[in-house]
Amino acid sequence: MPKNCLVVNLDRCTGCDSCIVSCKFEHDLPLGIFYNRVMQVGPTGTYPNIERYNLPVQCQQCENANCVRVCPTGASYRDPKTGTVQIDKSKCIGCQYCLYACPYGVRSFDEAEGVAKKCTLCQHLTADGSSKPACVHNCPGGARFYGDLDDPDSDVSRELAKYDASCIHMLPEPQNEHPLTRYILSPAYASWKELV
Amino acid sequence: MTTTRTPETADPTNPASLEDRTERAWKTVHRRGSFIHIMRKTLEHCRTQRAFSDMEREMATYPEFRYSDQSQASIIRMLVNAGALECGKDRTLRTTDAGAGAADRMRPSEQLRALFDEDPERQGAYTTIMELCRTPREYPDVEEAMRAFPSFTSHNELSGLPAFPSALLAKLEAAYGLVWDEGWTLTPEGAAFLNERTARTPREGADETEERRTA
Amino acid sequence: MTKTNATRARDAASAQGARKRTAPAQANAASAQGNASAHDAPEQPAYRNLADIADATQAWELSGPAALRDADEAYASSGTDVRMHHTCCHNCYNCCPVWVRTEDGVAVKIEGDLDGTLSKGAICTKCLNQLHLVYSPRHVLHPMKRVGERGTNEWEAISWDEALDLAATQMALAIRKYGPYSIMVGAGGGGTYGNVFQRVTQDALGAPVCISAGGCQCYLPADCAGQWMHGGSNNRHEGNNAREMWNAWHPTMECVVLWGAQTSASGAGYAARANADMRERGVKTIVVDPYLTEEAAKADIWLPVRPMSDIAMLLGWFHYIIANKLYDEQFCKYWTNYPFLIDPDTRLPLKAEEVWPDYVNPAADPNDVYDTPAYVCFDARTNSVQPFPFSLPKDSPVDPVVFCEAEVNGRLCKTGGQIQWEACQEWTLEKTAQVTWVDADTIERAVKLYATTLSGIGTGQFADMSELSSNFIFGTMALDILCGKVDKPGVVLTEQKPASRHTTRPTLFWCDRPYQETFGVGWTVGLTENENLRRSQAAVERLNEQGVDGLAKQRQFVDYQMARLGSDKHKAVHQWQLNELAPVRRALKTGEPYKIAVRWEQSGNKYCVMGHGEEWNEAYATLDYCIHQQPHMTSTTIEDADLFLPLQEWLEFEHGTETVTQFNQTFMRKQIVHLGETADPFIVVTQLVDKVCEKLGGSDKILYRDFQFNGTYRTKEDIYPVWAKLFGVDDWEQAVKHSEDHTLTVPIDELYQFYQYLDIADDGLPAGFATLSRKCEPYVTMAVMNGHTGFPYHFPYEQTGPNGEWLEYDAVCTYKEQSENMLQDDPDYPFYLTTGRIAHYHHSTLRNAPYSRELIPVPDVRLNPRDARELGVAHGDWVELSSRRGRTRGRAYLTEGVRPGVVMMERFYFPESYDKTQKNFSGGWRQCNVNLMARDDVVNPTFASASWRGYRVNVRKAEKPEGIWTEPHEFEPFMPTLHTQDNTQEVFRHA
Repeated sequence: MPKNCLVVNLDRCTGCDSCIVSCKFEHDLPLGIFYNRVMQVGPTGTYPNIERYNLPVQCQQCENANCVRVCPTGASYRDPKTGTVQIDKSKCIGCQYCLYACPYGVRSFDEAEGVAKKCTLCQHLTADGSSKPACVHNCPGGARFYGDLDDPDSDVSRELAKYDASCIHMLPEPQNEHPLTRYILSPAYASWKELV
Repeated sequence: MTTTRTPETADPTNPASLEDRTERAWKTVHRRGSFIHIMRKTLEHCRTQRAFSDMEREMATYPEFRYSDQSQASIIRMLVNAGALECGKDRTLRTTDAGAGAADRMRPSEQLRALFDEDPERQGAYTTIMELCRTPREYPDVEEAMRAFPSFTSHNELSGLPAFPSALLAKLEAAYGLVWDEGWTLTPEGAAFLNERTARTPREGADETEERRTA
Repeated sequence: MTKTNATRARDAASAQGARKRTAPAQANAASAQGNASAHDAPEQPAYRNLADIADATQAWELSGPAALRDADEAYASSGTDVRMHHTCCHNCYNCCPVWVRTEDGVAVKIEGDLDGTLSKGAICTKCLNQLHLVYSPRHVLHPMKRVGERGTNEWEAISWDEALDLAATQMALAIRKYGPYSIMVGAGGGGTYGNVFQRVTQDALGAPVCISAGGCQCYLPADCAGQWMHGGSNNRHEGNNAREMWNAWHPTMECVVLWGAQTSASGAGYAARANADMRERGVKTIVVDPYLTEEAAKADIWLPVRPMSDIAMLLGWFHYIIANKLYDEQFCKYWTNYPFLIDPDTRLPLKAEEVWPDYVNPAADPNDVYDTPAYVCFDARTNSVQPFPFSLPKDSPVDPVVFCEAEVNGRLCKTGGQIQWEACQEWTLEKTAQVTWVDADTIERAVKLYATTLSGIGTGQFADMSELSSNFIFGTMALDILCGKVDKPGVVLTEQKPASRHTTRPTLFWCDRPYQETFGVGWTVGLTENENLRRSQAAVERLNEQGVDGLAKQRQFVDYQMARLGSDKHKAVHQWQLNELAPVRRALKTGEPYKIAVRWEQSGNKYCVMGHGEEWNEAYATLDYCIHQQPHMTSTTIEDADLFLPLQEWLEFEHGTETVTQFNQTFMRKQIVHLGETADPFIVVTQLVDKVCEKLGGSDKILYRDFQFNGTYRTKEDIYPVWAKLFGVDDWEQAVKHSEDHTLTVPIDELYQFYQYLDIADDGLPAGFATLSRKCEPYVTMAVMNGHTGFPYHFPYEQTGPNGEWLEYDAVCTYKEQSENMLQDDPDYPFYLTTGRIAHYHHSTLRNAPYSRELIPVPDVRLNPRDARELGVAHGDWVELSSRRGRTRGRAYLTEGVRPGVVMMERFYFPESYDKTQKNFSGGWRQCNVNLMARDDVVNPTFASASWRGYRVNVRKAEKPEGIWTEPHEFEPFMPTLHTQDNTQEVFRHA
């Protein structure tokens, strides 16, 4: 099973929110629902000895996803073909267990449709390998990458290969969720903050 | 017709003073340059109660109204909304105390007097323009006449340019000494003001008037 | 409910200083039905099906060369006509190339063009939001005439014929009553709709008053400085300058200074990536900024200056570089005017002939066309004052001393360099540190890195909007020139494209509109006085041949220029045909020096972007008539306009010249949708000027009707041949259907050009620069001449005082602070106010874009947490700011990124304030308007720049203002409704 995921290079991210809005347009999301949010981490320190970075957060594509585990209907599932965590709306009963189970808070509940929603990694664009997720395509910083971590030629692998291990991070996994999403942040710019 | 809400809409539970209401009427009258005299004359006309249609007919005779992009009814409505005019159920109009207060502050005779007093060095030029405009004049005519005068320091202390003829014309227009009626034209109030000044200074005035008659 | 991991993670993030700007997942879920407002919920539009169909079908190709995309089978069977269109965005001036997908003629998706040289597919939120803006219920589709009093929001739709007739009648009336000076134009936009049509409108009418919140306050100073000092480009990061730092093909640059520039915000679509690539290549960045911007956060060295102490910092750099001989002495000697001895009375460089009347200038043009003066220097070889003719350095008869003074005919003269040295002499590292609040070691590290690497200084706009505008731009450009960082690989000050190479002595007219050819007015730098006179005379003769009194027309034109208010004190405003702001406002209030009766506002929302809004509101009420043209109504419309003319959004806007270039690519701008009767702004102004002439009884009744065609056009069909020629196609209309095939691309090796000044010209001399001396002019001679006579704008006339008095403008960077207590205690207004831009909004636009508003609903007031604690203000609390001019509110955003004692707030206004649903109706410009506190009563002497930042304020806790929306669901009324409309033909298409 491939390990399709995002790599976000925070050395390059300028917090412009284009990824948030690209996604909203791509999925025609209502106001108030976001598949992706960009957090400001810091500045930490005391002016002017301060540092900060932006942290876009969307579905982390956990290998050991809590949302899949808790879903009573199997609406939350891992697609064996793409290796990605997806939601089958037709099976979702709107119980919202998955929202509470996700340690990163990346799921939304669409009241109008009564279902849970989240980042799909734009499978409608990426499944045949010809296009990238909207947020990746449009990113002004060139900070977002999509691909298979297991494929050394993928965009994600090539970007990660440019950096020393000390620059590569992932979000904390309180229950061994094994998020696939990787963040690049060079110590020269800022030190990675563990947010839990 | 929608009742337009403006920030100044009075709160009925807290009626404003006459001073505040007059100020509000004044502001509406001065919300648009080209409507100032239309509105002033309307308020004057309606010191006596008038039928709505009467006021519409009257307004249509005003030279300033000729180029108005708003109807008489629209302008009347603005004054009603501002509390300067009262519109009765029978579609009669009457100037309110606030409207009268605003109109009182704009009497042409007083405005002209103040205009002449504020800048004595311009009196000759103002008089010349007003006399010239006993016959309707185009702007270039006034421009030409002003060449006979030395430069006037403008009232705009932030510009070193002298006052242009349009500045003087606009001031006379604002004081209702002149009106644009397909040409700059002396108003009856302007004529009365000129005559009064001539009467007050008979020797000078007579000479000036004589010179102009022969010019 | 016990805290879940999700809640815990968010709380922890907050505790560590992370702030989520977007709404939490569970809250505020929008519900179209639940929050229906005055607007009916739209029928399910075609594009809302997209996501559903996307789930059900395979992916389809979305990018590629062909215009007509094959839909996948499932979609094709639905009968939907799917097309892809190529164009470029126009939500700011950067014009990122994009692909737009339409389905049955409705634009449903915008994505970046991967073939954009720098943008590589990037687009920012502004661009994306065009889908909502073009189909916004706020996008006005028909001309609208006001119903009722100004300050309300009732309008009736009228036809274009009626609208043009109305507007022209009012304008003609004003001209008949008061003369043409009675029309004022409002300019601006920066990136939305450009300034060309605003300027030629004024020229055609002969109406001198044009104002902009930008202009004098934005980019005009850089434009002048680039021309005056470098003969061309300037050091501003925007505007297709400063491109060497992005040279990924032959990377040479080692370090770039971003001085008050947030390129990731001002050039979001491409600069963010280009800068990231640049840093990845190892280019170091030095950022000068009071705030920890994105650029500062990623900088190698950040100089966190006290707000507006930049002149002190500049002088510190000058001092260090000169004292430690880190400048490029050879370049200074032979390629700058620093060694020229300056006449102490005129403050102009001495010409050789003034000192030696019989001197024969070897570089003089025997035809008396091109001007290559000889100056005077102190020659190190002979230890004497000598003539200094122009030549290749190796051929120079002198070895000029750069920093010295010498006696010339009994008068002590300093060199230009000496004058700059004296201005910076006391600015040791210690003094600079003390005044700028940056420690001396950091300053030294920065200036050393800059001075000892291949580097350059790129600037942001911030200083343009302050009294320091001339000091700053002269200083930053002069520093690079001093260090020889000019027109070579690895520097900021470069010229691009083959056209930058010269085979004759380079010349420069101050703009690309033909004032000298048409009216015989203005000086072409690089030509002799006699040649300039000849050209002036030739223009007069051409006018005579047309049956016009040439000299009278010339005089009429010069009078019109000199009638610009404030230009008598600030003579560089003519560069963009602008006026100083305060005198214009005063002119409206007093009716003097001339009566202004009609306002033609061609920009967005003046209340949002300039200071003294309350006073302007009163001033604009004096006007008889106001026309406003924009795609949607703003505070300006509500408060002041009597007539509203609807302009196209960029998805509707077909164009070939203005704002169509990004880096080395120039794009055909294609009309992809068209709604109602929206019009092209270049056409609207032309149609209206035509109509005014008709009303006045002839085109000879205005200054020069046809001059407007140096920029505008009457109909689309009139301009298509011009655009076709520009793009090298036979037929624009056919070609634009496949616009992607016609992008003009300058090959990289042709884009980057170097050492143009060393090319040997046809006079056998090195080409040099398009400046007076043919060299770089860090001693800004043109500024001195401009102060004296308004040079170069009025030649052969002069703009002086009533008795011929000259004004004296600085020619070098001299120390200056903003006027309002920048170094003193100010107990009533203890904070320093600075501002900045964010990527989401451009000037006053996009506040009706719901996807941006739900992210950034109100402007942040960035406060240091220590100050906030003392004020009793928590993150997200409302605060009131006040200055000596006015007060406003904002929402506190606590951040250590701002120095204690400093607050930072961006511009804003609220289009919802005049929504039909509003209980608290207002123009939306008072609630959170930082510019209510700004000032224009003191301005830069040369450029009349007002201060939109750099003043003192007070801060205290306050309540949320009324009539503004902050929660996501509240923006539902801004969601698009017009996508159900059919596309229409453009109104003024046919000639």
